Order: sequence, then C-alpha cells, then structure tokens
Amino acid sequence: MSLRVSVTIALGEEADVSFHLGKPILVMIVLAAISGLIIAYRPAPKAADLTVWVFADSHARTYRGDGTPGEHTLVDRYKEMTGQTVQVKLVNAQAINLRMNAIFDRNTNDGEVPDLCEVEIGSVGRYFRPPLKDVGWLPLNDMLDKSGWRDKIIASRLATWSSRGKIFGIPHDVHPTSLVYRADLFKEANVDLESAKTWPEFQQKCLQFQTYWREHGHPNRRAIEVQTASSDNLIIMMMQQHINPVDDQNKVYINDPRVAKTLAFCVECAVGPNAIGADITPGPSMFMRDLARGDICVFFMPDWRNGYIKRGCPEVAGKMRMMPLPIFNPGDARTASWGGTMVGIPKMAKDPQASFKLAEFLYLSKEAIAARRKTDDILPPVKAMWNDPEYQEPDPFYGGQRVGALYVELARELPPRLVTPFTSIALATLNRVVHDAMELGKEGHSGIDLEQRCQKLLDEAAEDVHKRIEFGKLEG
Amino acid sequence: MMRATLWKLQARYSPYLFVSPFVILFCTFLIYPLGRSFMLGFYKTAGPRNQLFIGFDNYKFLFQDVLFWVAVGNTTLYVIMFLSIQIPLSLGLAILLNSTLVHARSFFRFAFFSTHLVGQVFVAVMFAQILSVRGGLVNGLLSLVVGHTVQINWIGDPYLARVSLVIASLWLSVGFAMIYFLAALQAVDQDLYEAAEVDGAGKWSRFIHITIPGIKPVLLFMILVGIIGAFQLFELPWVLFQQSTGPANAGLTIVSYLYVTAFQGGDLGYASSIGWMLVLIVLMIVGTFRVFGFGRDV
Repeated sequence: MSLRVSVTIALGEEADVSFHLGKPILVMIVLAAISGLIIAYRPAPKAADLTVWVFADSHARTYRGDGTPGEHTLVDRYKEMTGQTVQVKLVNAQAINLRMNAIFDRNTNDGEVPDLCEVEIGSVGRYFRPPLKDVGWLPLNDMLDKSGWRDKIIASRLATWSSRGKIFGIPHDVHPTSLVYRADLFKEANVDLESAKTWPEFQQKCLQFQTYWREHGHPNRRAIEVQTASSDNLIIMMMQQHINPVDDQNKVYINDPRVAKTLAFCVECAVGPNAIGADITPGPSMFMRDLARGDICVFFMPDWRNGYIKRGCPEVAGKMRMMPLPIFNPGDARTASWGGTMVGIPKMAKDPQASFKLAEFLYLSKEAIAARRKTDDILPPVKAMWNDPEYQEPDPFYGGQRVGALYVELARELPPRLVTPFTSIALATLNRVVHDAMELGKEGHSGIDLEQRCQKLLDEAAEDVHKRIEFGKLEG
Repeated sequence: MMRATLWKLQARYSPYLFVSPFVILFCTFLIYPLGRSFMLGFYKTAGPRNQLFIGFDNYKFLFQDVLFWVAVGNTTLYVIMFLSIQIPLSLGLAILLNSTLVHARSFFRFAFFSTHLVGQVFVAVMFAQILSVRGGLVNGLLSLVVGHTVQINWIGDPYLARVSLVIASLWLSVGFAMIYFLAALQAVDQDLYEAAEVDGAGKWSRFIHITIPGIKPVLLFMILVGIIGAFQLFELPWVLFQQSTGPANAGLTIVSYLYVTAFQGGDLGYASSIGWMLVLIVLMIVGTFRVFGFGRDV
C-alpha cells in the first residue's frame, strides 16, 4: 500500500487549495512536529541532588565504582549517610575548562552548574586572573577554618590552590616526586645509585652504569629520562631549591642564578660526554615501554605515575627501587610536587554548604581515602592520615621496599608550589629556553661558559615573561 | 473569503518562514560571534566578564610577541613545506592513475583517497605510534636497513617534529588533492594531445603546454585552498604533540596559539586579535594571488 497523504484541503465550496510546497515538505513538517512533541514531553531523567564533575577516570571509578554488581560505592555510602543522591560525571579536562568558563560568564545557576568540580593544576591559573571578587570559585577559607581542615591539610598544597590569600580549592593530593630505577640492572652493573645524595654524584653513578652496559652489549641504554625540549624536569629541580617560576606577587624568578646553574646541569645530563639520559618515548604511558625494555632505567616518579607503572608494566615487578631526589645544595628539598588536582565549588552552586560537605566526604574522609587506595597510590593531603599503618607496608613491586613510607617522608618536606595566571606563560617560555640551551650543549659549550650562556637565555626569557605579565594584568 | 486570503499569505510568506531557521542560526553562530570577536580584539579580558577597553594595544603587543612570531614562522614554514610537496605529489599520482597503463586504477584511486576519510585526530594518533623513537615502525625499518639500532626522535626533536607534522599531513591530504587533479585531467581535451603528438611534441612538452594550462584553474584552486587550510592548522599538531605546542614550541601554529591564549590563558581579547591577524594574513595571501593574476581562473 502506497503512502498517500491527502494534501488537498477543502475550503468550503469555494476552492480546493493544496499545500503549495508539495507533499514531501508537508510530510517533513508533520514528522518534525511529532518528533518535537515526543522530545518535549518525554519524561525527564531524575536529577541527582548533587553533581560532581571529574576529569580523571580513576577519580570517577573511586567515587562511583567500576560497575561491578553489588558494589557499595562512596556515592551509595553518601546517600545512606545524608539521604542525598550524587551523580559523578566524567568530563574531559579541557571541556571542563570551557564549560566552567561559560558558567562563570553566565553567573546564574540554570541547572547546569555542578555542585563540585575538579580542576587540574595546569588549568587553574587562568581562573585566578580576574579581580578577586570576580573569581568564579567560592573562597573556602571560612569553611576550612570552621571545619578545622585548614590545619589538618598540608599547607604547601593549600598554597597551590590559593590566590591573594583566598583558598579556592581543596587539594586532592600531594604528589611528592621521587626517583624510581631498575634495581636489577643497576645491581648487575654494580652501581649503588642510592648512595648518591647530590645531583652531580648521581650523574657520576649514572655514567658508571652506562659505561658498564655499553661494554656489555647495550650501547643505547640510558640511565635517566631527561627532557630536551620541555621544562618539567627543570621545574622539579627548581622547586627542590624553593624557586617558583612566578610568585603570587607576579615576580619572575626564572632567571635566578641557581636556575641557570640547574639548566646547565640538565644540558650536560642530556648532551655531551657526560650525558646520562634521553627523552622518553612521546605518547601516553609510552615511557613504560622504555622502562620495561631497559632503554631508560631511572624515572621521576610522582605518586600518580607510580600507579601507572604498577598497572601498565607488571613485568618489572620486584625489579624496581625508589629513592628520594638528589639535591644540589644543603637546605634543598629531596622532593617537589608534579601535577595536582583540586575540587572547587562554583560560586553559583545551589547549596555551597552541601557541596562542601560532599567535598569533605569525597576528598578528606578516611572512607574515601581507603577507596582511593584501591585504584591508585596517591597520597592524601591530610597529614594525620599519613600515620596509617598501610603506608608502612612493604611493596612487592619494589622488592619489599616501604615506598608508602618514603612518599610520606618526602611529603613532609614538600616545597609549596604556587600557581598564578602567568605560571603557564613562564612554563611555555622555559620550554623554549630548555631547547635553546640544549642546542648550546650540542654546539660544545660546557662548564662556566655554558652556565653564562644559559643565564643570558634565562634573562631574556624573564624579560619576555615580565612584559607579558605587565600586559596581561587587569589589576594594578 | 477570509480563508482564501490566509492561504495566499501563507503561500507568499512561508518561504521566508522556512529559511528563517537557517538565517537565525547563521546570524547567531556566525555573524554575531564574528562581530563579537572583532570587538573583543580591542579589549583586555580575564574571562568573559572582565573587560577593559584598550584600543589597538592587543594588536600592538602582537608585533612584539615572540610566541606569536614563532607561531607565524612555524605555520608559514609548514605551508611552504606542505604545499611544495603536496601539489607535485598529488598531481603526479593523478597523472599516474589517469594512465591506461596502470591496472586496478579504481582500487588505487580509492586507496589513496581513503586516507582522507579517517580525519586528522586519527592520523595524529597513528603517526605518534609510527614515528615513536623506540619501537616505532619508521625507526624499526631504518634499523633493519642500516643494520643497527636507529633512535631518531621524530616527535621529540624540534626540527624533526616539523618534518613529522608535514609527513602526517601529506599522508592525510595527498589522496584528496589527487581526486581533484584526476577530475581536471579527465576534462582536458584529448584531441589536443593527439594533435601535439602529430606535431612531434614530446611528453614533457605536452605536459607543460597542454596539461598544465588545462588543469590551471584546479591547480590554482588547490594551491589557494591548501594555503588557507594550512594556515588554519590545529588538530593534527595538537594531538600529535599530546595536546601541547610541541617540543620547544615546534608545533605552535597560529590557531594553536589562539587556542592556548583563549582557553588556557583565559584572555579572549588577545586571542581574538590573533584570530583577526590570521584573517588578515590569509586575505593578504589571497590578495597577492589576485594582484599577480593567479586567481582569476579560480
């Protein structure tokens, strides 16, 4: 039976007027109208009482579980405790930034505003750019003071999420960075890496290691990961010396003479006769292949990265060891933080008190920290929890070494890492400087000559960053 | 009578009603943002709610902004490297696949074109693996050829990163350009070739004097579209370099600098001025084409 649509509409006895655009258009209009009605009147999904946006899959799994039937998740537990339902949405980190930007622009709660939202350290500086009163996140100073958390959370991590005296986020983590190395390969080379307490001593040990392996059929085996076009390693070494690229008064420190010295050291670790490292294979988690194959044998290891290698590189289980970072000078920290996440409350959240209560549960409660330990090894920011006996347990992945205890020990001396709206500019500039300095190394410059040239590069870079800060500032 | 009048009105105005969704969407999502971004270029902003009128200061700062000129340099270098290989290569392939001497031409045409179907993000992810410094296919093959382990850091080295970017772009787009050239070649009058052959013209002479003039409009169109597309490069380097501007900013293009400024730095005003500078650069190139008479056939 063919579809026949009567498009002739009788208008009394005067005339028959057909739909002049034709049957297909009429059919499309009718279908569109029906679809529109169905969509408009479909039952809306029941919204949860509270919504949390997270960008890391591991965080989402910690809060809402991995879908195992019968699993009792943190979200379930929170409902039992408070009667409030919680929806955890996994949103791409960049999408979170775009959406939060739009939300802060609208400045109203039209139902799309999350009650809590996680922000990654690389993105947070931009939110601190407006005048204090216009920052979209709710200052948490009062809530943290009243609840007593301010004294319980490690101060160096609260500093990361603060601007002009206001704390805008609760830290998820501490992220102390250590070094991990292929103990089996170093043992075979008869090199005691952990006896190196300073970076120059460490370099000498690594040279011994490479010499051994070069003579034993592995000419391309490199001791440590060294970045030749990125500043992550340099920043860690700067932080060890308590140097932030930009401080909260927007003063630039990237041309501090100690940075020039450190940069020259990094260059000599990457190129020339004393080179001990190479870039890791670019790509998500590709460094694990370098580790498993023994192409590169020492890695900078913040606690978040530790979870990756345990899951992604089981073949090196039992062959690894962890050690604190060597230092440059007495008084330097044996660690620095790498990465980080906060949870913040948008100013226009419907019930900031309820949001804060949920943040306390998901980020700071013993229950949540215990759940987190099932999915990763990230150290919580609450100092009292570091006394948990679990952190003293031997770790089979590291041949029975108590790496939890080592991370705790390092966390206690963690230098504060400051993030300002201009930190990302300083880091991007340093990336370029690192590359230019590496080129100097390739040209054969070394020692004091290299250091002076690095200082010149850094002075120029600092001037450029300063110029950008002055141009970008909205407040005087 | 009243009903008849209504039907007449319906017949007269319904076309406007039907085009109105497009017009509304066009104005909302194209005209308004364009106008808004033009205005934003004259403001210093910190998020969309904090704006300070600064006149041409954003544009003035652009001229002394090292990163902007790095982005312009990278993009220009990319455009030159990309087009100077893409055009001859795709034309050569088109000539080859237009020849009756080649068997299974349809298969090869599809095979070369199919790379274009997968998109820039897929290509970037794939090339990140292929060009991997250790365990990558390219270094693996080179190692086999030279007989020892080759570890070329295709993506991590700032110079090679630019080469890698061009290689990935070529893989993606040569087949696409080839299809255009193929269509153009098939439109060239075969009688001209026969006449030239009778007159004793060689292959090269026929190519220069018949083929090139015959496909000139398409050739110029491909160059122009290639330039415009290449200046808008963003997704491929952004994904290839793990959502960053690459080693020592080697993957920093004008659009990626715009993106970083707007969505990582939160300065929509300065980002808008970068966007309008890009428009100006592209218009200048197109204008130069017209001035020298290259684009009249396009």
